[in-house]
Amino acid sequence: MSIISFQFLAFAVIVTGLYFLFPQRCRWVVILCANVFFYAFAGVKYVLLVFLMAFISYIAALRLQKTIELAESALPALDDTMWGEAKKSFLSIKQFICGTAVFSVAGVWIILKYSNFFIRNYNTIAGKISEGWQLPEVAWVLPLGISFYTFHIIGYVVDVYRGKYPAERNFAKYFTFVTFFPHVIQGPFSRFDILGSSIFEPCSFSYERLCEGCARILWGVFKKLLIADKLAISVNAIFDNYGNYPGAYVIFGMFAYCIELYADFSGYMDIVCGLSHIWGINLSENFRQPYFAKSIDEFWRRWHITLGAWFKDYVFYPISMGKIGQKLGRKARKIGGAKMGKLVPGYFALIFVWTATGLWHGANWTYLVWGCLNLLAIVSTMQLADFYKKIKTVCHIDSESVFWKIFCMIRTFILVCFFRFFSIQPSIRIAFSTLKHTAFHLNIHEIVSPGSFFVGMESRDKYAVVFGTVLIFTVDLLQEAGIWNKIKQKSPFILRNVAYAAMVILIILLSAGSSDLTGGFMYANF
Amino acid sequence: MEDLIRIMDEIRPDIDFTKENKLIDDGVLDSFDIISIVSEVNDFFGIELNVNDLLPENFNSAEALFDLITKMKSRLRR
Repeated sequence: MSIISFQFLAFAVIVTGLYFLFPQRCRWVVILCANVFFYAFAGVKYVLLVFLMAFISYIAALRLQKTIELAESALPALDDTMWGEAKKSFLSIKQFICGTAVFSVAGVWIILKYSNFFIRNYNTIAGKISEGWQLPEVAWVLPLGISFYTFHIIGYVVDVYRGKYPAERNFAKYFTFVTFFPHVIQGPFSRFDILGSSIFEPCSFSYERLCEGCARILWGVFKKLLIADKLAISVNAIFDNYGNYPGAYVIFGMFAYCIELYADFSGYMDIVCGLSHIWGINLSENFRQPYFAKSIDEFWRRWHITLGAWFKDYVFYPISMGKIGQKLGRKARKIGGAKMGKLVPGYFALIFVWTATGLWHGANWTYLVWGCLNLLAIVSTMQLADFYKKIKTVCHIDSESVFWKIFCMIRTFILVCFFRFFSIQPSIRIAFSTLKHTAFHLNIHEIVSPGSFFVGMESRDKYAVVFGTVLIFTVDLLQEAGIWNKIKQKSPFILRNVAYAAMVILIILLSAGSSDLTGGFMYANF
Repeated sequence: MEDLIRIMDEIRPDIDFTKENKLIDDGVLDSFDIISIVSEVNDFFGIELNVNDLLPENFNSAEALFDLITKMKSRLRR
């Protein structure tokens, strides 16, 4: 069921109605039923898979909890000679349970998502030896949201292992968290202790929340239909047939793709956060004006925030603080001093983080290149920080000046667009071929008018995209300045409603009859 | 406590660790600072702070971190 559809609108209205009709304590049951219905709509077999994965992790978490409780009761009673050994034994048991659960769940996800990637790469090598050695690709369909709920499950098991919070004893409640339909398709990544308390705590109906939620949903739909879906027409047309267009169009396509992705992903977040807000459930925010970032590192603290936080907690810290990471840090400190001692364990962990981030987004080498480019940008910025500082001093550049900040923002935006260009390409060969075409056939003289960049778009759609992009930029600018909420609160009631009505009219007028109104979201494919 | 402040000062000389009490909540320390502090603290105090201890309440101030170190040392002594 597409989130941008009348089916989903009806579904959301019914769920919201039932949610508030039920007694406060049982409202999470409505959410559970809605989750199962929503997921079963995509395919009953997918419900069975998510049920199985959730059940494995549920049992593992209970076993972990039992081990922790046993350790807490048994260890204080032991004498000094026994205490150390017993502590090690309890830790080994915990590691075994946690490891088994994580590898089982991650294994299913890896097999389903990456089998064809491995087979294709194997075939490339095997094909050079003998045709007979090649393997057929599997015809599995990636279950809806598996990349997201797998990470939710792993996060939960590891948190219980770490003793961050106790295991949930009620499987139905845990399953409600795992399958919570607003976050199951493309996030945000939620933590059980935070989202769980929000879902299961009684919450009364609020007219104010209803209005705020609906306004946010409308803003999300506006972004998706009027900007993302329209821009997708040009972006796809340019990249699918780059040879037919001047290289300047490819450059436009790179920027347009970044705007499309932002409107698409943040539009989705606005819809699901708005819907959850109506129910009194707070989902974590995934964006903080990402295109105002002044470095790639900062960009990743503003874009897909919950994914970054997940990788930080479950990949970056365990690796950088693990035995190998710490050993590398000590060696680096001896050789390169305190600064290197501080940076090297982090660099070591970042290699894993960005390899995983790249491959998480897609089972293709192009995503790996995209991940490596991000890694390179982050590491070089940190490594050359002193050098940049000296250059700025020599050139009398004031880091706090507005012009320098704007320069950094534009530079970061260009880098983000260039890196993302690789992720949208079907293969590395095509990516480089497109870049070569862009460099050698820029052909600026062939550009008739600025409007000609919007390949395949009707005239009214071009205006819609430009207007929508300017509107997003303005809202982000006001949010960045910290005055957006004040403006919203202080604006007259009539003005606000006129703005909402205008958005509805624009959506109806400009998206009606559009063949591209599929409602499919880009991140749902990751 | 003086030793801990000295260690933290060496890693981030721009921060007044005697006064700051929202090191994590306000994003004053980044992840590279944290792993560096953990590494130095483990070496100096002979303890094993690990990823499970990386909670904001343990790293928001030098005082909170010192409490954690004291607790871990007392556990080691027994």
